[in-house]
Amino acid sequence: MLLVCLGCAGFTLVFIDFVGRFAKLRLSRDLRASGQFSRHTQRFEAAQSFPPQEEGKMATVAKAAPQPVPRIAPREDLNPFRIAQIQFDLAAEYLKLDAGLRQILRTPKRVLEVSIPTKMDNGQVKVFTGYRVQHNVTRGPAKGGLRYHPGVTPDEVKALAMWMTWKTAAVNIPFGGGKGGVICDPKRMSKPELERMTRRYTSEIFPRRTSIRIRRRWRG
Amino acid sequence: MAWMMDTYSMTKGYSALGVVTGKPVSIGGSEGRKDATARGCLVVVEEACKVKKMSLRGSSVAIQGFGNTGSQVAKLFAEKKARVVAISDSRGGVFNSRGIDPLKAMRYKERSGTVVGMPGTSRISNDDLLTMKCDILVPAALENVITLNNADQIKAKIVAEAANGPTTPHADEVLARKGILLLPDILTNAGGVTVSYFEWVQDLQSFFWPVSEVTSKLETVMRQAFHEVHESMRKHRAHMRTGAYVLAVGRVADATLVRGLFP
Repeated sequence: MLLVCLGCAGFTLVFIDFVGRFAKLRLSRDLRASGQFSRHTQRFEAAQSFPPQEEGKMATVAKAAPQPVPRIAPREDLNPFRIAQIQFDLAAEYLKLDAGLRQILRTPKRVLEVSIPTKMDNGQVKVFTGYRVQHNVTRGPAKGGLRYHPGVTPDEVKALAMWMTWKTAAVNIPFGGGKGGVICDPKRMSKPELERMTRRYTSEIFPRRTSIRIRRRWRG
Repeated sequence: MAWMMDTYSMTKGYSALGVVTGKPVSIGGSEGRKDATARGCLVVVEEACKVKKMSLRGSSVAIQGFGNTGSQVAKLFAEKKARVVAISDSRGGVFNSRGIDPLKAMRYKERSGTVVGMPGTSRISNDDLLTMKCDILVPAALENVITLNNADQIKAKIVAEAANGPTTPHADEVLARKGILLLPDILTNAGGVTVSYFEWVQDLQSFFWPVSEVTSKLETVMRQAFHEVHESMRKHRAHMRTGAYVLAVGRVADATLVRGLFP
């Protein structure tokens, strides 16, 4: 249904809202029928409506996300970052975290986007786009892998960074969570090309000054 | 990773070993990194089998994805005498109810680039693999493969998420209602990050451990994590993912509150 109404932007928001509500209703009815998860279901629903003031914003994100496979249920939001936030909100509901703390933990601490100019084997320069997200560094350095894939999106990298935070916390090791990604197809690149791109990416995300450092001397 | 370490070290002007993990062993990498994720997954599934009062030996396993993680998972499960009945990659899957030899499959994939068409097996699609009859299902490939569309058709008793984010939140609810034990990604594939942590520790100390020590330390960490998550799940009467999240988010929230806000 989402795909059909992408053309008429005016109706899209209404539609998503309607479809979402329908899915929620259906699911909660099913769960209530089973009886054993009623307390859990309440929390699940409460978690999904957090934060209330951002409903409109979220729906816009869902509209913009491309949904290439129409067979997958269109009533589910498959944006990975949105999914990660829903999972987090459910846990926050159980822990009864206050709203401020939730806002801190449900968004990444830093998002960096870099362009990576790389000389290809045929002598031409190609510019790749890369990301590095640090979701949380409270418990230690932001740990997380680097993904080379043509389908990398900022939302996916953000979701993976968030999952890394919970992963390091779940096994209780002193790390935070982060993730990197570069939009490229490593299967169609040679090893020297990959090496040049990786080295440039490393140097692009390296913390450094971007302007000339001016030393001020005190003259008495 | 060697390139990243070298680039960083050249910029800094000294060799910084602990700046990136997953390095080759010759420049400060850890032994046992290659199958770390799979080994963590195996430990978690073993403990889950004890909880479910199942025996891993002889139980049937379907694995979606035959890359780094999937192939190592298949190998380790086969070593524990579980029956790997189906494997798949991006081109499709293969199936044999009497079991597939993962080592043969790895050799076949190396030669032909895919597991499809492996001798002694019949063809199965990636979608059918997820809903086939088996005891343990291991999604080790993509995100969002278990959705509202197929969640109610899943027949496995245990779903072990070796990939990141294979199950959607709504599908979680359906699986929980069906009594399927879902081992969440943030627990099941944490073996990789744990050995990365070991690598970092070894780099900082410049003292390197033999593979036996890495493996035994990894198993201790994973076993403890499983029991903590399981305890949290029982305490909150939630499903396993929420149990893991409550534990993990609670730890990060605690740390944040204790540190406070700057300024």
